[in-house]
Amino acid sequence: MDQNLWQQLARGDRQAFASVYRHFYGKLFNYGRKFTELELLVEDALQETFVIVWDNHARFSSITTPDSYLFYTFRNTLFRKLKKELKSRQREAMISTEPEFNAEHMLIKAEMDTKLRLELEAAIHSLPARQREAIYLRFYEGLEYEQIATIMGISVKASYKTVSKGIVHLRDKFNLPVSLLFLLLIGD
Amino acid sequence: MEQHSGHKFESLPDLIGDPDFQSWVLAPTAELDAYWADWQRENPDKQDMVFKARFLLQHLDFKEHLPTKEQMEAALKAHPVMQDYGDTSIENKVSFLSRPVWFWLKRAAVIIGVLFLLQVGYKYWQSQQLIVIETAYGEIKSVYLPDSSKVVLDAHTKLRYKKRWGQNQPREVWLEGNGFFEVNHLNKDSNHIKAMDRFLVHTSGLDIEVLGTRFDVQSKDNLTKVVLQSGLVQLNFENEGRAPIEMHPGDLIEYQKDIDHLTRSKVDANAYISWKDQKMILNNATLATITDRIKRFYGLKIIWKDTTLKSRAMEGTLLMDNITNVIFVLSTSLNIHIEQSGDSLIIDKPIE
Repeated sequence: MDQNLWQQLARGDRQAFASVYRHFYGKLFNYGRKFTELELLVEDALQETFVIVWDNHARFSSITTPDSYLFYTFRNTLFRKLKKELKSRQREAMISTEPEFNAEHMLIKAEMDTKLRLELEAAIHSLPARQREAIYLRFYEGLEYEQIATIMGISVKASYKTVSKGIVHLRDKFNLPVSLLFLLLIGD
Repeated sequence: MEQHSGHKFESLPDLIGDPDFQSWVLAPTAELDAYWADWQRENPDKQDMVFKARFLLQHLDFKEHLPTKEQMEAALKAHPVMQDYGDTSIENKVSFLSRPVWFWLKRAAVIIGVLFLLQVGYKYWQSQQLIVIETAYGEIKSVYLPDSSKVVLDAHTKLRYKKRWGQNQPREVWLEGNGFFEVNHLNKDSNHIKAMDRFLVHTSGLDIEVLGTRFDVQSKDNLTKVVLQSGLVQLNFENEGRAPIEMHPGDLIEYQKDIDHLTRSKVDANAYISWKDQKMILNNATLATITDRIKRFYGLKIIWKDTTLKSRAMEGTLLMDNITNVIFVLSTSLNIHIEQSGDSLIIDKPIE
C-alpha cells in the first residue's frame, strides 16, 4: 500500500480513507473471524474501528506504524463487543473473560497419516489461545515482533516468547524420525 | 545479521523463536542459506533440531475467512464517513454552539421548520432501521417479528428486517442460514390482497412469498431449500427467466442459484423441521445425513476413519440438546466408536 495514503488520510481526504478501508477490510475481517463465528459482530467492530480511524485521522501524519494501530484498535473494539455479547447470551460452555483465537482455524497443511494429523491437531487445541494468535500474526500476516507486541498489548520480549513457546508446545507433542521428516521436506 | 559464533541455540525453542531462523524458513535468501548451512556444519548434532523446526514452521497454516468484494464495497458505502450526514469534525461543532443569542433569534422560524423536518426525518430513519439477529454455533433462538409472526433461527444463522413495518408495504425479512417460519395470516378477503397481507422471505437466489403459513427455509451461499408444512407458498426467482412456483404442504424445493438448477420432491415435512425442537426425526436416515446436521449445528468437523460407516442407518428420534448425549446415543445404537477431539468428531469401527 502506498505510504502517501496515510499522509492524505491525515489531511482528511475521504478517497484516501476509502483506499485504506479497502486495503485493510479483508485482513481485519479474517483476523476477527478467528475469535468468533458471529460475522455481523465482526462487521460491526470493523465499521466502528474505521469511525475511530476517521475521528483520529490527523494522527496519521505522525504514527510510525499505522498498520499496528489499525490492528490494535480493531482487536480492542472487537473484544469489547464480543465480551458484551457473550455475557448477554449466557453461554455456560467455555466462558472465558477474554475472547480467544479459535483452535479450529489453525491447520497443518501437509500430507500425512491420520494418526499423526490427529496428534498435531490435538496439540494445536492444547495450545494457549494467545500463542495461536501470536503465531497467526507472525506467520500469516507477516508482522514484526514489535508490531505483535503493540497489537496484543504485551512486551516485545513476551511476544518473542509467546511465538516460540507455541511452536515448541507443538513440537513436544510429536516425535518424528529424522528420515520421515526428510522425506516430507523433500516432497515440499 | 551478525557472526555465527554469537548464536548459540541450545534447544528447539531458541531456534524457532529466532527471527533470523524464521526468515530463513519463510523467505530464504542466498545470504541466509549460506549462514545456516555454515551453522549446521558447525553444529552437526543440531541437524535433527533444524529439520524439526523447519517442518513445523513450514507446515503451519490458517483457515481463511475473507469477505467477498461485494460485501466489502457494501460495507464501505454504508459507512458513516462515506455517507453525506454533514460535517464530522469536532471543531466546527464547538464554534457553532458558542454563537450569541441574537444570532439564533433571527433564525427562529427557519430553525423551527428544520426541527420539524428533522423529527419527521428521524421517524422515517427509525422505521428504516434494520434489526439484525445472528445466532452462534449450538444456539437456537426464537424471534417475534413486528407483526407477531414467529421465526425459529437455527445455529449460525442471520436474520434481518426493518424495525417498523408500514401499512402499505409487504412484510419482509432477509435470511442467511436456516429458519422455521410461522407467519400470521392477515388477509381477510382473498379477492383483495393488501400490501401488508403479503409476507416475503428474501434468500439466496429466490424470494418466498406467503399469506400465512408454516415453512422451513435453508439458505446458504448458492443453495436454498424450502419445505412447506402447511398453507400455500409462492417462490419467485431472482433469475427472471424462471417462472414462479407454487408450493403445497409436503413439498421440498431445492434451488441451486449459480447453475439455475431446481429439484422438487415430496417429503415428511416434520422430519425436516424437527431441528427447531432440538431433535432430529430419523426415517432410516444415514449416519452421513446425521453427521451433516451435527456439522452445521455444532460447527464441528467430522473425521471418518472408516468411510463404510457413512451409510449406516438409524430410525427414531435423536435429541440434539447436548453433543455428549448425541455421541453416546449414536455410538451405542450403531455399535461404532465416536470420539470428540477438540472441534472434531472421529468416527471409527468399535475398538476391540
